[in-house]
Amino acid sequence: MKSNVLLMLLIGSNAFCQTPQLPFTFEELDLLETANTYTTCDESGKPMELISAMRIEINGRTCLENGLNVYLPMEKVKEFKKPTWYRWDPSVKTWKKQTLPINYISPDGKSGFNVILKCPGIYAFFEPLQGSTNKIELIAPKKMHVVKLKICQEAPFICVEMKNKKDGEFPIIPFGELKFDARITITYLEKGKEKSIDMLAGAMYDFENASERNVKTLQYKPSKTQTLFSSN
Amino acid sequence: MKISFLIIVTHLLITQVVTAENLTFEEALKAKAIRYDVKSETGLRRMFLKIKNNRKNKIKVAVESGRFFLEESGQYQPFVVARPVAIRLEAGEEREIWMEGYCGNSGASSPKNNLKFNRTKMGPQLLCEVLQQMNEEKIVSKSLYQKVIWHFTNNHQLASVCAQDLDSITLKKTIQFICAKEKANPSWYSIEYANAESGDDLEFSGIPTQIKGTLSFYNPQRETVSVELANESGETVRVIQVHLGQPQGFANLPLDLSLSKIPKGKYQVRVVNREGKSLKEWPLYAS
Repeated sequence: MKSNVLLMLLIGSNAFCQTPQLPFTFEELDLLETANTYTTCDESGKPMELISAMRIEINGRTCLENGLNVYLPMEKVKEFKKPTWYRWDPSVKTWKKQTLPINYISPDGKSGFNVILKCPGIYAFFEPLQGSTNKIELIAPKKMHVVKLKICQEAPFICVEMKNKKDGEFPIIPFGELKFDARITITYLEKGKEKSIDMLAGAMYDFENASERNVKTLQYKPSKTQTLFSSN
Repeated sequence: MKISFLIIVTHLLITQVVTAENLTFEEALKAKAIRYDVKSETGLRRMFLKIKNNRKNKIKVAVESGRFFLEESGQYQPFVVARPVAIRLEAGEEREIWMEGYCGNSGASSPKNNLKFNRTKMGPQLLCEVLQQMNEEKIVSKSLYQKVIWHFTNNHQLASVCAQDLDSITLKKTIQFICAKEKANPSWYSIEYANAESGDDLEFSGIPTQIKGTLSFYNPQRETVSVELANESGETVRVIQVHLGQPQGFANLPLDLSLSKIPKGKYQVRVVNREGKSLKEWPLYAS
């Protein structure tokens, strides 16, 4: 009797019915998390602004025959003039440029961009930094042995990571306009082990007393670890 | 006086010589003023009409749009006249005319060579009215005529009434006319079908290939929405589009969906937000 009831419940719950399996799963990714994890630099290390990121996983095959249409509508406040379409290449850990998005006009005359996703991976729309030639240079005591510098900020979503090439010298980092709450992560060696310091840009640079925000030479306040930032 | 009499007689004679009696095909049949013979010819996909004037006077016979010519065995498609043809016949004259015949039954076989179509009748009243309206609009799209005919003869969905070789305004006007006659709403999408394997335009493949339409809805807040295809049970069978950061407000999204690998049946297209809530649904018949 009990087994019959259980059987009926299972049948009623569609446990025996096969629900259609979607050929893929699509997920829109959090911009800050994506920027932090993958940075927002192209293959040459040039920073870009992250607009939108997504992941697609294909079930049961390599790529989709009929791709998924992804549309990026024009934002009301800001127009993306030249959005570019990238795919994360995990083998070389960099964003690789794909075919250009297609301009499309919706039936009511609104414009945007359209790409077709067919193969699995992580993809993103980026916008090149417009007109900014600001750069950031890290000056730190040689004995600190800084090996990496990472600067990430929101709105616009830009995240750059640079490695130290020579002992005591650090490359100049191209960057857009630095914001007060940009996160700075300095990785240095202490007794052969990597350690990191996190701080906000506001703690290292006197935004208030800077003569002009867009002036090329920027002076940062030294931190407790006696690092001195300047940008030019 | 003599001159006036002569003028009047001359006028009467001329009038008698020039004026032909105007008859519709229906009237001519009822009055037994004509005898006709219709045969099919493959390759040219045409209807061969042989018509003879039984009268001793000139007649002008109008073959009406919406007239059906039925094949004697009933196994093959009837021919349908979509655009009226006027045939002038002298007394006792017999003429042979090629006419454009459309398919009057999408489920029947395409006619072979030399089949006889010895029965005729007028088609459904609504079909005749729509064909007349299309003639008045001077529409020449063969594809559209055929699809309109199948809509009335075989109940093909209104969404199938579309044509690539016609401007959108004229097409819209034709559909609106049909909707007004049928007291129905226009379809939000159009559906296209594959060509028949035989390559014969008079044959209906029954294989839907493409859906095109516009999805109009209100998005209550700026967020990413997806366009999905759901089956009759409400289960999502395909995610068709994703619109990243769709702005708040009224939206009109274009839909261009290939039906390859989508089984025939009833579906629903819906716009879904990130929480999986459906913002709007539209019925879709992929058949």
